[in-house]
Amino acid sequence: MDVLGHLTLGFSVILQWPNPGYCFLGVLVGTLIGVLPGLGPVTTIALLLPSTYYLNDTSAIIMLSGVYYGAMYGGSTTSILVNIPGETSSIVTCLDGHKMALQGRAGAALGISAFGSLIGGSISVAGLMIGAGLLAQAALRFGPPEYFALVFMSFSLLIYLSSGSPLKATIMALVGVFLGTIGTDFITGEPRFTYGSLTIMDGIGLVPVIMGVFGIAEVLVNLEGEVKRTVIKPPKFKNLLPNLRDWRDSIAPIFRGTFIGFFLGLLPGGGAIMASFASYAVEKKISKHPEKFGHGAIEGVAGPETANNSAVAACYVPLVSFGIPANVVMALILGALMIHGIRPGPTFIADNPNLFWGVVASMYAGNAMLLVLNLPLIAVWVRLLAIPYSILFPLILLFCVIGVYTIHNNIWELVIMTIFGFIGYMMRKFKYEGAPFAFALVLTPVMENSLRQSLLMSEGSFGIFFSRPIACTLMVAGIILFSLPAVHLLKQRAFGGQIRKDQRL
Amino acid sequence: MAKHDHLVALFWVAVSIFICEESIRLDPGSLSNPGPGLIPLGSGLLLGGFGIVLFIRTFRARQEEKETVSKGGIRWQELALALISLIGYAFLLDYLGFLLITLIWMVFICRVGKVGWKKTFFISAVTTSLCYILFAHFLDIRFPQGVFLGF
Amino acid sequence: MEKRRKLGILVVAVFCMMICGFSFASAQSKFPEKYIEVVVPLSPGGGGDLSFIPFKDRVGKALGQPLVVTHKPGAGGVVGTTFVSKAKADGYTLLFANKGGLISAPLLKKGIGYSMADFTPICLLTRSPSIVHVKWDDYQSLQDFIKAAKTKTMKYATYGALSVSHMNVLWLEKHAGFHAVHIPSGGAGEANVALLGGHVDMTCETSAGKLIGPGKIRAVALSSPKRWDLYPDVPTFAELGFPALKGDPFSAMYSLWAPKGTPKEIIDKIYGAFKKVIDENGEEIAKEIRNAELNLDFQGPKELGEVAQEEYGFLKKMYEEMGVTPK
Repeated sequence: MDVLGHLTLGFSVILQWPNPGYCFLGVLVGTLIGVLPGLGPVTTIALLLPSTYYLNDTSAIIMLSGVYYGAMYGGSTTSILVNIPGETSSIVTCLDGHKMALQGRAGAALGISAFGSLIGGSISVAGLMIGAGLLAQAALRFGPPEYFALVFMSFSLLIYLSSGSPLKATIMALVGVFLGTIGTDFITGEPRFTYGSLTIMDGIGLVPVIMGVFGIAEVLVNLEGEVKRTVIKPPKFKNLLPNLRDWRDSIAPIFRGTFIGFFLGLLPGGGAIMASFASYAVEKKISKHPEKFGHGAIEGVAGPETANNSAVAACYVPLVSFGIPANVVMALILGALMIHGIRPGPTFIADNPNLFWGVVASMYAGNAMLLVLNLPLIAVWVRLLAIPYSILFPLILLFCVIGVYTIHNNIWELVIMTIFGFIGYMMRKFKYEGAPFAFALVLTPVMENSLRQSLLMSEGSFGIFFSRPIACTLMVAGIILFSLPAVHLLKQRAFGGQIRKDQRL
Repeated sequence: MAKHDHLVALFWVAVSIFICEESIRLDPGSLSNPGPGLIPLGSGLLLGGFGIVLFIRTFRARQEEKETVSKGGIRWQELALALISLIGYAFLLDYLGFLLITLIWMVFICRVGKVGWKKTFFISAVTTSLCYILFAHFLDIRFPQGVFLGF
Repeated sequence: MEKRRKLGILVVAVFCMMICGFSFASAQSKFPEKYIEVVVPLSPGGGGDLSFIPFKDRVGKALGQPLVVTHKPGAGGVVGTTFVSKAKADGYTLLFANKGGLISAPLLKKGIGYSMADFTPICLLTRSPSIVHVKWDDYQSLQDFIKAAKTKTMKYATYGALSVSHMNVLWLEKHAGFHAVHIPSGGAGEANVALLGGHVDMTCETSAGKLIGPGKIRAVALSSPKRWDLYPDVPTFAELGFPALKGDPFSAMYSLWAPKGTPKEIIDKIYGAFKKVIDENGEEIAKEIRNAELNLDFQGPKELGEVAQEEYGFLKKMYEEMGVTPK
């Protein structure tokens, strides 16, 4: 396979005007909406879809793709600066990124996030280029039992998402599981816990809940102190970018994040959210100083931010290999293709070389543009922190409101957001963390559906999870991961003295 | 807030009872043939279980520990005002239209945050107009036109 | 004095607005005077869009005003359909209905605020058959599959529980005497991917398009009364010995409706525009629709009303036989 030749073709496409313009427009819009909490790539691409009808197919896909990974870049900005995720996949970035900002290292956090995103994005595009066919074949082997095993394993990582009481984290996760079951039951078509409301019949929306728990709640909590204070002291110039030590600490997480993101992005239904959560948990698990996580460990920013960008390119694999969208954004991109009369299938790459390689090349170009765009912006963003919170918070609230409203033009989603804002506020007050909750909320539909589908396939036998090689491996890994903390605790009791106070509850 | 932890634990137990009740109504099926109620029931039971554990632990702990300093008490007044204003925004949005309700709400919320009057009006006016231009014109998002005044 | 003058101006202003309001009401003879909103109760980029897009600009030109598409997805079509059921019946808000929202939902879900009677039919646009797929290497025909299904348990996937595709398979089971296990899958072709990966043995879905071919997926039967030129070698259920049905109740149907009470002149005008477009550009449109792997089936308001009623009755009977009640 003549990758180099194809790449040359791709670059010749991307360099043809108006493609560079659309690429830039896409990444610019993507960054902006990524920064704004609430507004996300799904809403934006859905809004832009009709206008792409008037563009040629290559320009359209280049632009829409730019919006997607641009949003992944931008999402980290608000997470780091004001502890509010700009994107649902940036939730974990809040955990350590914001702490770093509070320590005066906002620039380093933003910088490592940008560089990590570039590296992750670029390597994963290479993966897309080289391996689309093979990877897709592998992804096909993932049926319901494999998905369940994967999610089961992910749940075991959930505990690493919290830095406080594991008991409370578990409770949060269980609440997230319950909320994830609200909506129309997939398997039987029955509504569950909807009480006749059309709004939650498709499930309690992820964005209103996240914006409430992380956005509104954050603002409410901050309103209690002196509102006039500045949140963060602006750092000195030399702290604007990551220093050598930061790089040294981050390089491994970045590479791990790339692979985690790519792998999870490949699977339909996986995606950037799972990738960033998983990366965070993995980094914390293998870190030599896990207690630093949640207090400003740069690995907790580098890994997840790389992972969510890496997942983007991987999402394209199912689409270009089979015409299957891996997630909602891909479904929209599929829609854009179909509007232009292109029906992706196994021969998509061969049938549309200009389009495919042009988009691939545009991803490299776009990632580069984003780095150039975002790095100088770091100085700007950091200055924004100097704005008194009294001015900042109404803006934040307003953007959350607009962001949530524009998804479905449904005022009830604003009400949901407000309710969860209250819940999130109470959670902060009583020291419950949002990350396990969010993770469980996202994972539960996949977990439950794949579980029930698997059991339907096996007619009730749980053996299906162990009779298939991939599923079996993942299940065993999950079981091991689940029992590790318990083993660890037992070991400590046996050998060590007192269990540390913060581990008790 | 640690001293009220055990009450929160009871809250979880209460929630779990509700969840379990509703899940049973939804037909949990069996472990090998799950129905719509199985996962909710499972989450409810576990939630109740952990809630009880939490209650026991915090009940014991509160007698041992002195209250850890947290971010002060809950400022109910500001909290309520902010939340009510958001709900009000949601309901009045269709009636008053985006421009008007956003303006009113911004003024209200700035005052809740104790921002001076001059700054309040300035910020509200600028932000509302910017948002309108950015979203309604550039991104072509449909905002409700108020029934009342028609814009 | 000041106050009274102000009051006077206010009264005059209100009076003028009322007059303008009345003149708007009588403007139906000059319909359309502004853009027409077509509500698609699905997410962007789906079959609904693809059925409508070939018509959008052309009909807009014929009517003299643009047609604007608004997506209002949710609850399988219920959200968008509810929205139009409450809209003013002045012809400026139309429903681009999918079967799930208009026909199935009132039968399956409790508390739906509308029924088919709340809408007036305008025209049918596309009706695409439901297709049974198996893996290429496993079976050559539907009979082969059914034979195998009678000896061991087969699994099949469709769009969702109680969906039209699901009903399709249940209907096949009833008349051929086999039983298979239903694995509901997500939309957007997930069922066919599961088939491709070998996780299920059969799917019943709308077209699998590019996934068809040696080593991959084989289409073995169609639900339409006649063969489809997109799949020239694939027999219909009727050919294979299943009971012939009126129309194609298992098809994916997209049609245009207006809220009940919309004046007949307006309905006729809209239908007239569509008919004109079909008469002039029929072939082009057919090609575009075919490219999207849909089946053009243009019918007028009377026929659409009849088809919808028939399908409603058919589905109602099926659900009753199965003991499915609205929840």
